[in-house]
Amino acid sequence: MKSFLLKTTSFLALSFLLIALIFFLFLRSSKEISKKHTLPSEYKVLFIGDSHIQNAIIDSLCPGFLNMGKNSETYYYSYHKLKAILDTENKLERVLLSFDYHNLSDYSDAFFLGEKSPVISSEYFHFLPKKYQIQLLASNWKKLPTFTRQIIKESTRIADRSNRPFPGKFRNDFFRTQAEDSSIQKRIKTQFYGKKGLNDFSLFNLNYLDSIRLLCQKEELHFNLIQAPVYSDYLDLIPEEFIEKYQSITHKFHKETLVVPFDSTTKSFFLPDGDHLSYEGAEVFTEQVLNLDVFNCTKNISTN
Amino acid sequence: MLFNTIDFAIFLPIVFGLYWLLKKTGIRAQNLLLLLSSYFFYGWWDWRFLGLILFSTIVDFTIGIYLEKTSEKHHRLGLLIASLSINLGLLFFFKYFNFFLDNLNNAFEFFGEPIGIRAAQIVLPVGISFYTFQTLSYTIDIYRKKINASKDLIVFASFVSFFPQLVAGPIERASHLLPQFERERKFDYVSAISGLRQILWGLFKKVVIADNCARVVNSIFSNHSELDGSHLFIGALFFTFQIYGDFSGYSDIAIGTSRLFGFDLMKNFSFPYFSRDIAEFWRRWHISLSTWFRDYLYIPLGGSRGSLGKKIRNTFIIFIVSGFWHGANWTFIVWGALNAVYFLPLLLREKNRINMNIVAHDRKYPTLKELAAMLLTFSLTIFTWIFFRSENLGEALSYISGLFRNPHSYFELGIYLKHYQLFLLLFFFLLIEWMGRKGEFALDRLFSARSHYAFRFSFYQLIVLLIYWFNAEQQTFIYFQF
Repeated sequence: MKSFLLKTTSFLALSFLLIALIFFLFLRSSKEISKKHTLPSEYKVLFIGDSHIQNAIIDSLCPGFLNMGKNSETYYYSYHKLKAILDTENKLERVLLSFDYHNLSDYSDAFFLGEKSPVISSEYFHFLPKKYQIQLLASNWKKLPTFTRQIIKESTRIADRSNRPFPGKFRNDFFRTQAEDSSIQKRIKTQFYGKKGLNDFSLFNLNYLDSIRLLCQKEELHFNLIQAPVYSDYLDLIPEEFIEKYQSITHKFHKETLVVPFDSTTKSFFLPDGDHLSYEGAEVFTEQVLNLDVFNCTKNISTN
Repeated sequence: MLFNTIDFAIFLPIVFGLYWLLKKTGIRAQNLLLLLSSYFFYGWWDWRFLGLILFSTIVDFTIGIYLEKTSEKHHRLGLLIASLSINLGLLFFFKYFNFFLDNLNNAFEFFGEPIGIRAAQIVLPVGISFYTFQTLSYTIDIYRKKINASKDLIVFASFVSFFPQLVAGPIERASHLLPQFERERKFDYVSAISGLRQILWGLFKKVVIADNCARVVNSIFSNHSELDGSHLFIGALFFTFQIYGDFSGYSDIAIGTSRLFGFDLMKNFSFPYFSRDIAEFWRRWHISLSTWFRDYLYIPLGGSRGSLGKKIRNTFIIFIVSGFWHGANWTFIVWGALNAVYFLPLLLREKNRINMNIVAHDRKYPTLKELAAMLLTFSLTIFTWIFFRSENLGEALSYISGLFRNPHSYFELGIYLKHYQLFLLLFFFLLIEWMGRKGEFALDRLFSARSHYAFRFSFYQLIVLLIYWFNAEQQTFIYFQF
């Protein structure tokens, strides 16, 4: 029995060490690559946030813009991503953070330490502080093999220098779509209602919203909140509590909040969920954003 | 609890440690620990159905004792019928009730008299088909006076609910497993190490082969009406490996785990995809079920003896019942009937027992004739699995007709290259299975005693790394639903 236990334990320990070694080597390499990364100097305006902004700003249409929105990115991840980007060489002047009604809802808290965190956090893992890395690994101990493997896979993606070490870029493959009632209702239910009824506000997200603002202040960057449009029927279904909370925050940050005129009643500008812009909608919205006064300087840069 | 989870990785060493620590206390304490662990293992999925196992256990334990005590023929027959009715009644209710109800509804509707009885919300208890058949074999064997009834409820309950094989087999016979609970178990180093190797290979089959195939298969089967024939062929091919990896992987883990506790379970798979004809395939596929049906259904019906009509009848009965055992769906019945159609010519020409040994048992490579026979059998099997995988007969037929859609797509290399990683894994898998085909399982006698320890050690580490790296999204074991 002794010999059996000894052999089995040593075999398993070696397997564990081997995998751990591979994991740490890859993680270290991603960290090094991110630190040495240089953001091309042409980028002056950075858009961050979740899929709403990722779908909405076609940065190839406006020189100087860089859309680094990423689906399911909560402010916690946006904060650490921004911090990591600002630690590298860059010429950024302005940061625009996507701010929508759903960002207030605590349904997205599960993206950090909850069920969905292994999938979402693997792309951010290499630049998160050690404390959070340990927290993430500990909270996902049951899915550790899958989770660590995803992080290693992400590292191999980063090792390919043609990719940016930070997640997020413009992506919108939705052509000829339109908002649909049933999808809108499903979406509203997901974002604002849980098993116990109406969701709470996400204090976690709101704290990091402040942190992002303070970080920009510290780095002497212009900071704005921007709302990617939602379809009018979707807007009508948002619970009153969230509308009020949203208004109170935009009121508090009224100087930083950008108001972009947009026709929210045209179905074809949206995906069936009414919550994301279709490619057609993104073209119109990007144009409107470009026409905002705050981007005059950027336009000048691009024409020069 | 699933074998391929962290939960089981924690559960197993704890039970293993406690079990051997209790050795000095005696087999009764060890059996009690196994029983409680088995109930915990089962209850982890849904504790409510523990009552069902307990009920089935008590019924058969009691009937077994009375069967042994009674010598009066009618009384004995009555007791056997009671056991069969209770066990099969429960199985019928949980597994087949809605199927019969649906068909009754359809039949009345067909004749223009819809009755509109609504299907009941019935949850199928995991493993009910497996433990029902196991307990049935116990009472039938006592009735046939082949074994004595167990007098120890803990021993009998442990036999019924032994966690490694409780939910997906192998379906053990009382004559083989029950005595093992009654005698002292000794820790055998060689057997335990071999058990670990079997667990490792079982995990590889499940996590790397079956689960990765499942991802492609699920997507192809759910979009089959829009895909070209070549995609559908790939879907059917991958399902052929998925079902084998999934089920034989489970059996390997079950047998390997039992060995750690000093138990020997029957072999359930013996390299079925290297079979040269369908008869051989059925001697190598789900052996514990095939032999169960052979002993308790086929032979009592007369087996392969008697008139031509009887032979045909018996063959169809055993294959159709076997299909129906898998699930309450016409697809399983057709799957069974198709296998009967494949098998019958061999039986009638008395060629069903010509391939008894494993292919090329005294050589490294098969002959061309053997290779052709293996490929033909494998192709026939792929075809039957389409019925097994489909949701209903309509889907199966639509899938089969889809195989002929855009035949030129079969020559587009890109379609196959899209799955190059999976093809490479399957090649590696088949290579190891081929090299190890003379053993109880692929890794059993893969290395000769002369092969270097470091080489063997590195190979097993490679398997662990492959399991880690190709560990696809966790899928439940297919046979749990049966």
